[in-house]
Amino acid sequence: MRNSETMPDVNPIRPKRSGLQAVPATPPSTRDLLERAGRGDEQAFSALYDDVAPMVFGVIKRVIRDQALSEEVTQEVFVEVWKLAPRYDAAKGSPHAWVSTIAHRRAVDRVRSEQSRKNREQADVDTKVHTGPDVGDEVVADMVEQLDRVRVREALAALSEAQREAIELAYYGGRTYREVAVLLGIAEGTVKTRIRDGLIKVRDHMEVTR
Amino acid sequence: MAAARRWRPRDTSSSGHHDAAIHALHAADAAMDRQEVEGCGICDSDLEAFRETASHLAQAVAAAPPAHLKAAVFTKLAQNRRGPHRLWRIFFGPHPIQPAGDSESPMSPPDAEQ
Repeated sequence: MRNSETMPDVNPIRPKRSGLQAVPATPPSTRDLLERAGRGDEQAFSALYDDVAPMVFGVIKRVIRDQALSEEVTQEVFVEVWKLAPRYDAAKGSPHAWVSTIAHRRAVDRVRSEQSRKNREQADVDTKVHTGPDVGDEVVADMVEQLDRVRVREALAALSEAQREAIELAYYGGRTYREVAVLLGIAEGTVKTRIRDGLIKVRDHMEVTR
Repeated sequence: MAAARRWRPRDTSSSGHHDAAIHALHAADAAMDRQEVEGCGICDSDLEAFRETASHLAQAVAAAPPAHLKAAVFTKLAQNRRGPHRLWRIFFGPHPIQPAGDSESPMSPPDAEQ
């Protein structure tokens, strides 16, 4: 029997319940961190930052393609995450999906508001559509994340060239499906079909290899 | 996650439902009629599923942010502290979870380390 007077409280957030033994502290899940941040827990928000910042910064940088601007937008995203955290509904999706949606939306908004389309189009000309996302020197060397990244790249590589191109332009390029249609010279309905079928394939691949 | 494995989006080509994949991938497309999507159970569930997939695309390009960025984020938050616990206090009184003291609060800019 432990002495509750002397045992450290492994989780000061969770209310104490009599009769429960202290269990070794396990890292809180991202969902737990987000929900605690939504209740004003700043320590949890700090841990949440450590957890999702690479994803947030990575996708923003990929869309915006400018280091300084990406840092600025990343700051804005985390301020928004902090403010919106009380409204996070776990039944509506994972924390990663919730945060990445905010980050992607902000990045696309910024690109458009900066009216940098001409620059990006020039960059598009210079940058051939990749068979997978760029993974540069800054990629976090975490084994689990690395494996996830490999699986996504495999999933993207398994797509047809047409599907991959449409998804890359829409997501990483921040283009609407109508813009993708114009860029590729194909019908809007065709773009929709390619994106939809491509995403289903990616999802299937991620689930099969999980 | 058996339910997730059974998921298949509806064929939106002729059903009158919204194209959830497009909404999941692009904010501008989603903004057009998000209210309608969220009001439709079928579109809504498809949208959630596609958003999960889109988050994999985000995670695939994860990149370590510069070390100073965390400090910048928390400085910005400290400058306009209107966090959820403040709103909670306004509407409900003292929040059951009190943030740590100022010296330990992450809202105080941490050292530029990560």
